[in-house]
Amino acid sequence: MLLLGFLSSWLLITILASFDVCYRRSLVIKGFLEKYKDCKYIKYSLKDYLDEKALFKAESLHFDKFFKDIKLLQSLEDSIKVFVVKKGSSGICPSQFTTYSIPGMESYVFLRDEPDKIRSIGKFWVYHEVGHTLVLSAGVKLRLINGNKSLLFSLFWGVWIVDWTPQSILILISLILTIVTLGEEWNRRREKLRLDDEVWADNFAIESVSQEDRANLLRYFSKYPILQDSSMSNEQNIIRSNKMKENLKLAYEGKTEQLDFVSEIYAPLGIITTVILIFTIGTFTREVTSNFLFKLFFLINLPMLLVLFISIFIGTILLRGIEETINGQSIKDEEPDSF
Amino acid sequence: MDKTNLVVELLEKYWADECDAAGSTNVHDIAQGDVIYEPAEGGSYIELAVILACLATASTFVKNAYDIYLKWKEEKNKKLNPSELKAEMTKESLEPEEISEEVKDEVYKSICEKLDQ
Repeated sequence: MLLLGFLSSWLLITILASFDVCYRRSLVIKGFLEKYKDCKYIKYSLKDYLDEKALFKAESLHFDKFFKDIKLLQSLEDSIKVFVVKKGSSGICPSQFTTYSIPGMESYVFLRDEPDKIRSIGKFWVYHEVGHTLVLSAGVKLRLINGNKSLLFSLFWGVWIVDWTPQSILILISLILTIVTLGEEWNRRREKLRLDDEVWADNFAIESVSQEDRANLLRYFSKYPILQDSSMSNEQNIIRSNKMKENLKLAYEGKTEQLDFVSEIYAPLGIITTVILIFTIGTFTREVTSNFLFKLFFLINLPMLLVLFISIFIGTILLRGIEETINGQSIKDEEPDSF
Repeated sequence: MDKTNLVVELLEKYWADECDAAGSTNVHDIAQGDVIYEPAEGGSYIELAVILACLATASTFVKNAYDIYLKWKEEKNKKLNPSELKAEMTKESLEPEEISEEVKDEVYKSICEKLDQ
């Protein structure tokens, strides 16, 4: 039963991650491609923008080589798609260098300059995005998607499988209280993790760019507050901006080993969740009958599987939508390879 | 000298940091003048709107100075010096407040030099 509980919890997390992929892909279409519908796109390879040293470092920090070898994960090159946006007949163009990152899947980086014309800020942005795809950053995003959902699932699961006695009702009450208490902690952590993720990616970029670029960046960032993330509060954007300036200065002085993060020690919520789940289910699980397993499969697991397939299907359609839109608006003559 | 090229050259010279941050494609589009910037939604960004607005103001200023110079030259068949160009720009209320007097004077000087050639 415990194993079934974990499997169902994993299924729930996968569904949530899959819906998150759908949502983020829909943002690429709604927030960018539809807005700049007469712009032209030129696809470039990440190698065109990264120098060899930085690419090697990025590859070494990317997901485990084993997973790439067995084709379970995309390579760094495949996962970061870089596009140069050219003005169309309406003249409407993006006022930002923009990125849409989809954890564990692909990222879309939209720039305005080709590799031979790119300057310090553009380079910083490409490196920053590479930073977002590396192990630590991807892990942070997955934790953000998961949040305390598995704890909620354990409550739901408990209603099904626990043999209800006065003792187990007490456990149920404590479980609800735990969810409420940890919910606040999760919200606090979610905020901080997002900031951590940005600072981590900034630091990767700071370490990767040249000294000349660092000097330029220091100048721009002290003059203009140009780093903005819509998913973070104004206060967090300021913290990030200040942290980046501090770290840029350190790197410019050759002290890259001293680059700082904003992390603090978090309560081990994952461990707490697992302990509660094991304790509740392990202690109060009712006797398993074939009738119960039958109901469990048809009323919980099967609908969950169905929802998972639907979300994967929607995600695939959205991905095709992105590909077709960009391919339809790409400048073929300058395009080094197809999408 | 081609107007767009002159605008790009002067933007790169007197607004070097802003041009570096915006990148050459944006600078060229602004100099051409047929670009409308709109923010994307839902992603993460390096927000260039302030920088692009600053370059757009600078570009309009350079273009106005260029046009005034040529108009004067055509109508009066006479070359302007930087202070005459400044006086004409002030008379036409084409001097933006956002640009420092020092930079404006440098731009007038450069335009006169370039168009005198």
